[in-house]
Amino acid sequence: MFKKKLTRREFLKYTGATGAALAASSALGPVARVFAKDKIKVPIGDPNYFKGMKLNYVQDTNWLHAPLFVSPHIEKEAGVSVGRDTVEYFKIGEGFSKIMPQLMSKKPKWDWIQFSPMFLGSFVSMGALEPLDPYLEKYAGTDEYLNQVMPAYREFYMKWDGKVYGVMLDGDIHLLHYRPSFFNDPELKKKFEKRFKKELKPPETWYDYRDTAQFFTEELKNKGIYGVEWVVNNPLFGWGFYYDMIASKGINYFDENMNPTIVNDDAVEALELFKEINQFAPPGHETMGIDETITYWQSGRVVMAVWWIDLTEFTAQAKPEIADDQASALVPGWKIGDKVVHRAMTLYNRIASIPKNIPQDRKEAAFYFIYRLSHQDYSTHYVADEYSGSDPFMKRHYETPEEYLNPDPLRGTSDLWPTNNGIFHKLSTAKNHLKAGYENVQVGYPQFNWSGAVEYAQSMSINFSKFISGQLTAKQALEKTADEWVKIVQKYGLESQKKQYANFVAGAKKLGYWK
Amino acid sequence: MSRKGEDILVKRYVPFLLVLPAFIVLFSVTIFPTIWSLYMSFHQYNPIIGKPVPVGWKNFNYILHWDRFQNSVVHLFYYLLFGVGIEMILGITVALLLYELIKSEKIRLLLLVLFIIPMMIPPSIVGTLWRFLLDPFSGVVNTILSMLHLPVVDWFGSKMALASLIIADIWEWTSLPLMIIYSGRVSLPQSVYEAAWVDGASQWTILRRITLPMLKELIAIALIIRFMDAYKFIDKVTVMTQGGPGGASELPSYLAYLVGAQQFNMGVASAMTWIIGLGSIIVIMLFVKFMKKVLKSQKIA
Repeated sequence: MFKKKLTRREFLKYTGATGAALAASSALGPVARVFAKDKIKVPIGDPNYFKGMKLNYVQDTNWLHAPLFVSPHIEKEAGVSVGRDTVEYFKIGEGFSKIMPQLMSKKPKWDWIQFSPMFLGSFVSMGALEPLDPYLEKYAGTDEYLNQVMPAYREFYMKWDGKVYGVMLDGDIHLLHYRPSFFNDPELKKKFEKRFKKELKPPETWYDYRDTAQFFTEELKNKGIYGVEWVVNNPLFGWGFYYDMIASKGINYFDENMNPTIVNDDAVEALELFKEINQFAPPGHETMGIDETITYWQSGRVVMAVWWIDLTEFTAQAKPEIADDQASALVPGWKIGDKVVHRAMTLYNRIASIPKNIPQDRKEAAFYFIYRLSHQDYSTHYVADEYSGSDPFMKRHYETPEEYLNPDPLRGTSDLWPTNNGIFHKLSTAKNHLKAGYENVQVGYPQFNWSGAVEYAQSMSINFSKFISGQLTAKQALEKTADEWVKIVQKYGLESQKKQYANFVAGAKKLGYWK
Repeated sequence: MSRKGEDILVKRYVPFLLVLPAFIVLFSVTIFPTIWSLYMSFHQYNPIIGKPVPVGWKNFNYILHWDRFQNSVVHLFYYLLFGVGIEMILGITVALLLYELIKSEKIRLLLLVLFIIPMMIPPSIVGTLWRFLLDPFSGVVNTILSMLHLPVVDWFGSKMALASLIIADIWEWTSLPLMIIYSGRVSLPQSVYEAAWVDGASQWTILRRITLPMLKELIAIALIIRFMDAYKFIDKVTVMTQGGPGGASELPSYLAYLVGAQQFNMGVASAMTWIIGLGSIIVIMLFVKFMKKVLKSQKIA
């Protein structure tokens, strides 16, 4: 309360100062808010802050141990931790059924959950997740953190209806992987140039991809080497390998009124070209799944593959002899006008969220833990760690290739992480890996992430697979998928789906994916 | 209370108290979920959408007209006919050959143990093993075919995916009928056979008139066990083909799993499990009836 009555001059002085401060705050944005007085400094630096709370959590079995080896560091910062005795696991594909009953219960047993953001819309629309904005507001530096996350992940996988519900733990993205030794072979180069009247190089368009795949398969098949491979038989992810092609044609899933937009000549052309290219894959290409594609790549008998970013990492670990004969580039695209448009699917990914129905003190502790786990201070190290299962998702991750060559400073060795030698052996390999990752994530295209995601994915996967195996034509496959999608929309309710899809539209518009 | 009164109380209530824990467990894990799934099968329920909404027979109607379900039923019959059929024929043949031809107890025991090993391996591991063996690119089977200059087979293509599942299943489960029939053959009275030999019966007559009729209940039991397992056939499908390509190896139980556990359409999934359950009961009843008829007509019932 003011004891002294203000003079006009003083009033103007104070209001002017306040206005200036507000304007400065608005202009400086993140910077001003970081230095606001009531923000909690990060790291907290008080091992008793959360009173030794140990958090329960759930994660998929393919994600490895980042929470466990980062935990001692976070415990030192703020007295909150996780342990081997507080983690439960689920298999990819069963995440939704494992997590949802717990989220619906009044007392979920987990303080935080790791899941794929393809379920983000479902969980948020059920009112099962805690919005994280109020927590982000409490801590200093969170704006910088949010700005560090790559837009394709931040806009589609962390936010829902303008609010933040999850923090990134793993950034999945498709890349074009290739074996430079084949592209640099002078004889093959000469033959390719003679036959196709163009230079043999990592393909830029899907038609280049077909030509290159065909060339390598025809030239090298007698040595057991094939030009290309693709995941085509996976109910949850198979569709996404086709969608790399269709999305780069500028085709989204639905229009704003939830009418499928996938039945058109462009989509048919893309699907038919996919099948044509797939002919140049190894025997069994009609049914190739994730495991087979890894095995074939690591056997060194495939020249090119559109696959998740970590294919080269697995291979560097499992087959050191071909570790440095791998390189990556932008997923091919379509020539539209005088530009080539690329889209790379961001399939699966991992985020961490907090269930709504847990006590407030545990929410506070859980937020601090997952925020710090996702934060660049730690994630920069563990995305380059063979025992984390995470891939880059922040700008800084792409700027630190040396992390891939060195032991992870966050951990030593143990029975769960018996080695700590870095992933790659050459800085050039790591640099190429990150450059390609960065280029692709800048054109990263989101998977379904609203209610019904699994059904949409399975519908497209199965019809796509029927087309590949000759049971349907391209047009029939797309029409059947569109019909099924309409039924799914009706089942979940048109208005509800429109509202949820609006999140996708907003993100797509922001990133320039919406015509 | 008199001693007599206490006795009456004990006789009346104690038996109920003794079975009560078992009943509670049975009710919680079997009876209640069954009733609940029946209730759900008449509702549209997806926890993401909201509360269950009564829809009458709509779920059943939808499933019965769903081409994917119809195809999966055709696949199931194919599997029952070829998979279970071959397992039974092989199991009976090997069991009887083992008993009749191998005279050394030790060798018989050793062979029995070897035959049982596949059955002791978890189905998911069997699936993984066969996925590798039948891999079209680098699998052992195609490698051998190539070495013999025979055409390689796309084992997981749309034409062969279901057959590949059946091959893996035969490898794993033939030992079940084998064990049942072998144990039955061991327990058959030797005197019956001695009498037949004295009468000059041929081996074929003995098999047709004595061995098979005396083993018919065991054969039926083995067949029914395998039939029941067939309706739950989901693990190897998940590991080996994931129902693909394009649903070419989808079986009803796998489809119910996808609809229920992955898409969370509990109403449709519940209705599907009821159709599968009732279907299996009807098929088994028809089979038992048919078998009795066949055996009677052959005068061996």
